[in-house]
Amino acid sequence: MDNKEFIAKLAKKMSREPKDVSSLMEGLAQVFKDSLSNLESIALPGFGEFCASKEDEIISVDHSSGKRYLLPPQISVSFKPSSIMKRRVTE
Amino acid sequence: MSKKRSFLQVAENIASLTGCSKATADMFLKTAFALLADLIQDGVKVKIKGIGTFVKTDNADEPIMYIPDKSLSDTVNLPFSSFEAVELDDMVTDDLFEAEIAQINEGNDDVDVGVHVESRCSVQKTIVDDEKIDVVKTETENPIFENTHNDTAPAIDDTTAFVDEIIDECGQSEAQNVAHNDSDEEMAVSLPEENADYIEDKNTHGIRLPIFIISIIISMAIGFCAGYMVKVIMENNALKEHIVKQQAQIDSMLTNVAVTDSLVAQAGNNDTISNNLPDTSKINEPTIDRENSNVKFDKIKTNRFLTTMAREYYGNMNFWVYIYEENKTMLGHPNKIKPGTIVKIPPAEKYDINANDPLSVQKAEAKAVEIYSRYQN
Repeated sequence: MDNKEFIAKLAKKMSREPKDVSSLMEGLAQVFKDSLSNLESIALPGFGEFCASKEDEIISVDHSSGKRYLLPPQISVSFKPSSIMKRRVTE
Repeated sequence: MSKKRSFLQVAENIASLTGCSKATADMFLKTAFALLADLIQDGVKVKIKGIGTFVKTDNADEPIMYIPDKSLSDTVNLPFSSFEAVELDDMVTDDLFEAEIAQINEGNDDVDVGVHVESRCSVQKTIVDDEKIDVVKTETENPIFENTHNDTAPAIDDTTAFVDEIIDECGQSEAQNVAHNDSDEEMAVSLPEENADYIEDKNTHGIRLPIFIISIIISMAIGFCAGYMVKVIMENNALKEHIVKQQAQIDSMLTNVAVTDSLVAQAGNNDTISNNLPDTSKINEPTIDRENSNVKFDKIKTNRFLTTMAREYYGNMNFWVYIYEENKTMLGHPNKIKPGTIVKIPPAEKYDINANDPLSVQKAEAKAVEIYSRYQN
């Protein structure tokens, strides 16, 4: 299911116009970007937590050539489902 | 502890960004994630723009696979977008980076630090906290998002404490996640050990070259000093040999003293011989008669010059010129003859030397002028 289908289904559930729901989704995406860029995690009870963690620069070795490369730092986004969510999925 | 944005804060942010009411934003959030949870539970792969993709897996440890949206990853990593992978030279070692990372960790406890030796995986796998099941069972018999069709917002105050409790429980698992990557840690330990020899060889190679150059310079300096000393020693040896030769010459002259004495004794009353013989009291080293009995030798001293010898042998000091002429090949300027020089005394008959003849004396004086004139140019 792509984004359009999800928005359509959500609009139907909320009994709202898809474009209204689309703007709300854009707002949600913006909140995600702002929060995770500042390394703030987003906790959604009953669903899970979206975490942002900074990984420092590392030295990686190419074993085929023996060359060493300095990889720049980066922020990785991860999702941890709540226990409720996990139970729902595994059942 | 990293910062967390709660459900209410997210709803407020959405409301401020979109201009809708907080209640609307609240209801939107609940409905959206409840629908997402239902779809994931049904095994539907859901892709949400700006958030990511959610896929149900069969792995009990990772039941939900989450792939962050590209725009989200790019936005989050915007500060590091200008950095690229850089190839390191041999002078940069892992120790420098480990020390730097340690300093960063001391200054910022909120940041999760991971040291990965292998390449990073772009797919973020979910981590399950098994301990939360028992805790949540007693608390959440009725999930919050059950009433998804109700447009009105539920009583937020009643759920706040429950929400905060669940959020805290979720947060506890975060600290445990770092320790779960055992395999990564093992790889991180093994690979540095494998590279240790490689790095050590590079470091020692860098140190050996200057030591090699310095050793070459020192050996060259020692060689020059040794060569100079050998030269000095050889010069000294040559000088010694010259001195030894001179001494041998003198010794040979001294050994003939007995011969001279015997000749004197044999001469007896012969006036010619006795007149021609030098005064032995004045000469420490007597003349030597060689094959020709008229050939004599004498030695220049500081108090014995050619003129002295001429007066002694020929009766007039002006006849020194003939002694000079006899030895001119080895004598330089007549006034600069070195003491110790042995000269040959020619017989008087050779140059018509007669002290009683004024003409002979004048001739000798003219000869002296001619000799000095040679050194005036």
